[in-house]
Amino acid sequence: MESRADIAEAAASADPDVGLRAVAALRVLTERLEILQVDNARRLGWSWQDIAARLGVTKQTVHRKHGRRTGRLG
Amino acid sequence: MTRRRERPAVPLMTAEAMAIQMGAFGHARRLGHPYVGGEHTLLALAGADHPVAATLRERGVTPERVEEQMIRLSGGGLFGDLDRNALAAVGIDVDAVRARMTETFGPEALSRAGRAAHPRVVSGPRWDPRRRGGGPGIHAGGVFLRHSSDVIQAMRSAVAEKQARQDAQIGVEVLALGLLSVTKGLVPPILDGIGVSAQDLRAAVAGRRGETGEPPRA
Repeated sequence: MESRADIAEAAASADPDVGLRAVAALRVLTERLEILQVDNARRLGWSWQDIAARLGVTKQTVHRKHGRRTGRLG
Repeated sequence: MTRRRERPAVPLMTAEAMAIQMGAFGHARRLGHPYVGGEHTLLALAGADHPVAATLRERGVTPERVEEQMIRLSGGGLFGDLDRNALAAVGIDVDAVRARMTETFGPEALSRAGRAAHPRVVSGPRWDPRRRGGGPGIHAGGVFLRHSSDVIQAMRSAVAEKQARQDAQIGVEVLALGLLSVTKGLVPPILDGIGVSAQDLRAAVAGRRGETGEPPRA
């Protein structure tokens, strides 16, 4: 595990290795949060249309990504 | 293994050991896992009110730490595999995100979403409705959960230990020794993550009776 000082230094550097890894990790984090939030919204009875509007994508996109899984949740 | 056998006059396990098995089942249900694995048994054992459990806790194997390792390794794998250092570099603390999400949605929701994120890395046997009630597992409250292969390995080892000691039943101590001798599943990496060796734990558990903790030859 890196120390706080190491991390601060990494953040301050313009090293593409650090920056690109951070972008990739953010993308994964976003995907994971989307799963949690979509599951929660479906459980609360939100429509695919409403979920898609908040995510800024089409209803088809969100349904294709999550429909199969959350279909089981009712 | 699957063939029904004569019901023995004495149950295989003591009531205390059985309570730990049921505790493991409860943990698997709570975490939304479709099987009972060695990690659930370890979690139940670490939280038990028993001298063997106290021995484990004294060496750092507490329920909190076991669950923390489980989350790191699989169950809450929603965030476990993220590049923490890269995210820290842009000011995101993955542990803080996880803590916040767990607080809001509960560990079950994280566990479920984690399985959705890693459909191929569920660390237990797949749920198969055709095998409902078949094979080794626990059936309670209308739910059947299969035992994963590490639990079966632990049970075989516990049976060998029981026979070596000429005990009538598998007690908590023998159950623990069986569990601590598994080579499959999540128990070895959980113990590694906590920073304890299974062999030392075996010796400590068996040492309560002045034994070495060496597994009997099966």
